Amino acid sequence: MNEKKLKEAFMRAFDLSPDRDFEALGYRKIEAWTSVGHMRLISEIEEIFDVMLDTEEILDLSSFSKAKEILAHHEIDFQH
Amino acid sequence: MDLMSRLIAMPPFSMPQHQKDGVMLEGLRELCLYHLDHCEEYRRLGKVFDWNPAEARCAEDLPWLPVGIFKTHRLLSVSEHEVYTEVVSSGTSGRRPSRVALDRGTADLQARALSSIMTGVLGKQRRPMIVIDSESVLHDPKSFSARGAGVLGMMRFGRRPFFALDHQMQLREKELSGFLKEHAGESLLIFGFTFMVWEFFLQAVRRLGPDLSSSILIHSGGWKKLQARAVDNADFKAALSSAAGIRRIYNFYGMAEQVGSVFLEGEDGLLYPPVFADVVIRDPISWRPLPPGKEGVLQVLSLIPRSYPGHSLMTEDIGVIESIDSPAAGRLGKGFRIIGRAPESEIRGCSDTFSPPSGRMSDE
Amino acid sequence: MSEIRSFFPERDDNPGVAELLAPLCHPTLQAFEPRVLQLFREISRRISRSEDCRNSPELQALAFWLRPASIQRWQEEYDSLVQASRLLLPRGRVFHLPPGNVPLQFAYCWAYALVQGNTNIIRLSGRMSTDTEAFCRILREIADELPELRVDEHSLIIGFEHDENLVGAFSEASDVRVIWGGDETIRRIRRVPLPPRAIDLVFPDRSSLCMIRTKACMSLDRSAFQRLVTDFFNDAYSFDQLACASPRLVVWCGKEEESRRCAEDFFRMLADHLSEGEYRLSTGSSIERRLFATRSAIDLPVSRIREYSPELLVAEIDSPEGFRGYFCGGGFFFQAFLDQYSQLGPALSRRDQTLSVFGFSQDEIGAMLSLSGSESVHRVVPIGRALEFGRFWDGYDLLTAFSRWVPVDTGDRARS
Repeated sequence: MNEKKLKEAFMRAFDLSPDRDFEALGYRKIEAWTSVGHMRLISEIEEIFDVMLDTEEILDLSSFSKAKEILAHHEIDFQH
Repeated sequence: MDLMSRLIAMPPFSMPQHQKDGVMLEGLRELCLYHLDHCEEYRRLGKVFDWNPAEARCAEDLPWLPVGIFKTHRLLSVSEHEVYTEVVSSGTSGRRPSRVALDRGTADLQARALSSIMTGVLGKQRRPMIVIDSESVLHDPKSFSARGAGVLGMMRFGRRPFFALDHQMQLREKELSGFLKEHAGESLLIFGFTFMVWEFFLQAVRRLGPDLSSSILIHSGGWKKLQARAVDNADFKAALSSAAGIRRIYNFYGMAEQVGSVFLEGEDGLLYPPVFADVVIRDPISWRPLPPGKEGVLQVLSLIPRSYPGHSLMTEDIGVIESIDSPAAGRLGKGFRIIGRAPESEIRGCSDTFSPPSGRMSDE
Repeated sequence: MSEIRSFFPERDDNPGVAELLAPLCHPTLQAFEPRVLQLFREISRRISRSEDCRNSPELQALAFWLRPASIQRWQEEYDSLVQASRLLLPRGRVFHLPPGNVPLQFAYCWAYALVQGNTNIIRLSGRMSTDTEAFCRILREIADELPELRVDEHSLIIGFEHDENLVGAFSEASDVRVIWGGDETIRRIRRVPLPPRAIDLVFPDRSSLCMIRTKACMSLDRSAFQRLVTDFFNDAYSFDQLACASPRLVVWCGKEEESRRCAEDFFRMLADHLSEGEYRLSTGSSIERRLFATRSAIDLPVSRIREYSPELLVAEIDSPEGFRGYFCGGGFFFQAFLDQYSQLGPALSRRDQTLSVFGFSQDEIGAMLSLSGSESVHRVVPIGRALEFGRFWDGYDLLTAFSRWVPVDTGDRARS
């Protein structure tokens, strides 16, 4: 469920299709994930999960798996 | 005879490019070294940018100055008391004009160079002359505007000059009509700035309908204002030809900052550097020279400026070289076109709440 | 008087000053009103989802800054300042005179003023940038679709060419005037009188610099070094190096020989990064920069200028001064070498805005700045965050600058 929501955030921020290999996405590794795209991604994630990321977390969030890791600290569960 | 005298004595468009490359390299290198020796600021630039003119293998390797430097700095390679006259560019409102200082030697070279170029199309004959300007443009003998200097320089190739505009820049139509009647059938020399020729002279000859088929029109000043009215060189020529039968029409490109660089239009409509000058087109980012056919920033080279380091300047105009030693033109060397002014940078400092609405003033 | 155009609310009836001001009478707007927070949320979401705005870093940065999580943080900070015995109340009406050539600058101050409960007049000048147009369009869309937010009761965006009478008319109706610009612009506007109880906030042109401790830089592994270079790239090149906070001087602190080696590696790596093409120098900037380099070489104590790549010129100057004033941007850096970071202190000026640093402790920088007295920078950030607009700017606390402090002591507690 949460995995699907996170994918949704990435798709909105970067205009991705659902069949994309999300695990392979990385900051500056795809064209859309620039510093500008990054801001969009953060906004989308914060809105979808209703969380507030701090500056360190925003800087650290550089891949799909990293996003899950950071959100886990906000009690968002990706195990199920 | 020294190099410059030899070059000025040659027909102005008679040197094949490969030969000119050699002449320009030798001459410009000597000028670079001369200015490094004689101009303090130029020497400083040489040190800061690590210039090595002695090692240049072609004229393109030699250093250049941005033309805008003459708006803020008075660079001199002669002592102040040797300055004979100054040329000041016609900066429009809001812009500082450029200034360059000439000593007698450089001023003399400039005059001889211009004469060599103009007699190439005019011959030795001095025709009755119509100046599409006001006589008041001449009144400031100590420091000429480029426009005044241009008019004065051209007046030596004509006689009995008639100024077609009054002090308010209004057409003196009655007097013009009288002058044309008096010289009916004669070959005249008509000179003016491109836009003023279009705006004033063309309208007048359309009404007066004189036969000027044996006359010669020389004009300069740029196409910016006419481009805004979608008038290009071909339209310009066609209009004057149909209104008064003028067929020998020559545009030229030049600038106050590099005296003696007059690039005169050939029969093919392209501009050509005379034997003692040349042009290079460069990529605006890497500044590397570009081959013919590629648009870039125009660099102008001239062997004439000796009283100030203006022998190698980067203009703010975009141009393109269309041909080299083209047989069709009947001229040797590089045939080029000016495309327009380089787009201005948008200064985005946190300033100028009251900047003018368009953000920029136009230059003539 | 010159004609006034109204961009928000949009009207084409050539309105006068009084007509424009009429809807703006809302003295009961409060700090952090829900309808204002919803407006920010709408703006942020619409910008970040709009196709047209996608490629504008300026708009996206604004959207990011106005996103709910960010506003929530403002509110927490604001609430922590306010107590029953010490209130913050709006000043009233704020007249913004943003710079003509930094698009969207006005939106940040507007948001701070609005969230504190003020009504706003924003006067735009110069050419309307596409970003500014997009912002006004989005504001109009929101006002149309969500009339319950009553945006036109607190915000008016107008444009007129320089006219001291009009500046005077709007100033007369204002409680705070916010002026951005060059020294001359600020002087001119400040000559126009304000009502007796009103205040000016001024943001004159400033320039920024960066300081790196050579030892710290040399101890970085390759990927950390690369990250530092990328961070510096973002600071310097994002606005063509022309924002007030963009660094234009790089100061290296350490043994000169080591610093030179480190600087060399740094700029080479920056040149590599630039070769990837993320930043494109325009023809106009390139010409302007070359002219600036030539003038600097003649006029300043520059010992040499090196071209690492077409987008990167580095001019070595003898002392960390002379970099202020008119600037070309586009990838031109002054560079100076110091043995000790404390030597930078005396060279600083109140004309300097942002000092971005790498390899120093808060205490070290704090001690250096304290010794500088009134002549020093306005903010210190790590390299990579120079362009983050924040609550403290040019010496003001923008979260309270548009409010009045109102102590409330009723004597109640003393008696009981």
